[in-house]
Amino acid sequence: MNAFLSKKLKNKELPSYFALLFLVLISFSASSQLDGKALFKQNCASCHHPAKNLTGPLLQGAKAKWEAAGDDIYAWVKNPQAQYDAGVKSALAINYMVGGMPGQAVNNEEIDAILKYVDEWTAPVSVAGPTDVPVGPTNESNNTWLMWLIIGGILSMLIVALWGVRKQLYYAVRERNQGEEIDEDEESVAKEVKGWMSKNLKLVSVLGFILTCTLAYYGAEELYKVGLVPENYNPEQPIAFNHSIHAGTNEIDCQYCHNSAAKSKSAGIPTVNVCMNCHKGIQEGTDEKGTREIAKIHAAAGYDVEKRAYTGKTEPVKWVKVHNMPDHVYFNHAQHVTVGKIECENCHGDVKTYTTGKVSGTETINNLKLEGKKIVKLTKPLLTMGWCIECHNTAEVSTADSKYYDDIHERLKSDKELYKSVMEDGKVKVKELGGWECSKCHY
Amino acid sequence: MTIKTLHKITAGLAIATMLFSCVKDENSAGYEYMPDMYRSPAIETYVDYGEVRTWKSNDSIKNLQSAKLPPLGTIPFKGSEVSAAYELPYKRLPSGAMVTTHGLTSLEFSDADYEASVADVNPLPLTKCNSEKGKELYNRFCDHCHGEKGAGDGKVSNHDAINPPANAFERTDGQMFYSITYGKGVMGAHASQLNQKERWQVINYINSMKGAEVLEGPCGEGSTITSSVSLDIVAAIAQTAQHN
Repeated sequence: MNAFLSKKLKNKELPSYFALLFLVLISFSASSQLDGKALFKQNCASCHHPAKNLTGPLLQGAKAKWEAAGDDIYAWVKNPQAQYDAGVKSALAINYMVGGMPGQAVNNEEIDAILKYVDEWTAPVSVAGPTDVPVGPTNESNNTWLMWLIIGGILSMLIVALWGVRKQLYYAVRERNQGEEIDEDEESVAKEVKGWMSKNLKLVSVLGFILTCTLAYYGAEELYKVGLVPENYNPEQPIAFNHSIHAGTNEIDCQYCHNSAAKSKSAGIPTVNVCMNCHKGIQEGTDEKGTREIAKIHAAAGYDVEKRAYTGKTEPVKWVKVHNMPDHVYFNHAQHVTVGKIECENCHGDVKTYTTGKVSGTETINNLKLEGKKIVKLTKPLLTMGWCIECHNTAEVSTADSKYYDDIHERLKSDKELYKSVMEDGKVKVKELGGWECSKCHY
Repeated sequence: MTIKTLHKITAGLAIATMLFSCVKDENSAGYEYMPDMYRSPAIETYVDYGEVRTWKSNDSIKNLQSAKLPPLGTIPFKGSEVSAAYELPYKRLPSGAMVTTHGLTSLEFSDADYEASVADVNPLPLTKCNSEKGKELYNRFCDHCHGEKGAGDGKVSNHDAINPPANAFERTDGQMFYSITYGKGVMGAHASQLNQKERWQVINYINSMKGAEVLEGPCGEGSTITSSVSLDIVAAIAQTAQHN
């Protein structure tokens, strides 16, 4: 072996050995430069924040404090209970939470790296994401409407006034020319109009017919809208919850908050404890408004941010209901979500792109392009009976992997003729399973 | 100004007012056809009980109602006795500190139950069916914080305040069940979102992610869940309910 080495070393390969040694040295020095951020995230971040009191107290300046008091912070991190028991002054000064911190499996170098990262930490400058764009065309259009109406009002008043002035002048001229006093009678105008109408009877009747038809058409259109929630209906809610941040940016599932959709008739507005699952930690929004809205949740849940404690004083949040199912209709979310496997978007639109929830029209929903999600395209207005039964006659029921349909499927297969008639279009539809029976939805 | 002109101006103003009244109220859902059919006399979800009918309102109960818990001591009963057992109260009590830290209220508290829950056994077998159900629930209720593989790298953990530990799933089944039920650290209690069976299914999926062997077979109702439910608590609740 020795002989081999000496032989080798004598060779020209000597420089390469030095290079190898150099590399090894470099890799050693690199490993001693520990990544404080990663270590902090791995060992501390679930409870601690560099500059904010969370489950554990803030860590900035902790090392300086301990060193100033002449205490050993390394021993504390590794075994806090021992430091308590020994009566170390700095340890006893941490009067934070019952239970306290468990001992951490980190060595002195790692603690140094973590505390260095923490002390150098500065709050990231919040970059306004695409979700921060205020979506408020409804307000704007409302204002322009108002403006047009005011202009229209002023103009019509002007026309009426000018017409009056013209008439006065006309009478004045006639009075001066003919020297007779004219009775300012409305009838004269009516007579004039009547005379003109009898002269142009054809034109008047055609115009009258067109006018009646138009009025009837638009009147009927408007009447059809009675009882329908208009598209883009977006009432002001007590908390301006932003769906695009929660379901869009943070990719939280719809059913994390609306979790009763899978189990109950009602999809459910989340109770504040669900909000608090995240907002106990996240206390600031992306902007001032967001922070204000989050503070409303804390008020409703009775959470004191300063003391990091629930006070027990809660107050209900009065959400504004958007869809009101009439008393004589039965609709069950669980049937559609769990058994029918209908996508939320098929009725509610792509809510994760909206700020506060709003109503989508059937056209908007038909035009949605969603990856991996099947949308049943419909034509009737949302939440009308036509829309319900149209879907029941269009959407395919997937009987596979669902125990719910086992029995009905067996019965279907035993009746050859029925099976043939049902499978004519190649799919089983809700209508064919009784989805058009009155008593399915009305009772 | 003659009286006629005054009439005309009044008429003009009336027309203008009528036009103004056409301005859409953004907070109105539009006209209702036969409102008595919309406003149910029966109590429906999220309807103010004080305003059950439009023309009748009971001011004494207006704005007083929030989403309510079921009556104390009641459980939903469906399916077999075994499946009903999943609705029984959880045996392990929350620690006393959780009143202030997690807003939990309970009849009793025990600070040692987190440690004791180590012994609790998952009553559901780790079958493919349970694991798949668990996966669906995990993707709905856990992955936005804990990440797809449980490394603590979900989208929500981009916030400085929420950092699930990468070793969160290195606990025993019983302790994970305890933490899902009552919450831990910055994580809130998820008992209102997941029932006991679903919690065990999520844990089943977590175990399959960790590499445990997944058996073929149906979901099943589980062998016995006496390890995690307490009949004592049922008796205690029944007693309290009687006092009230």
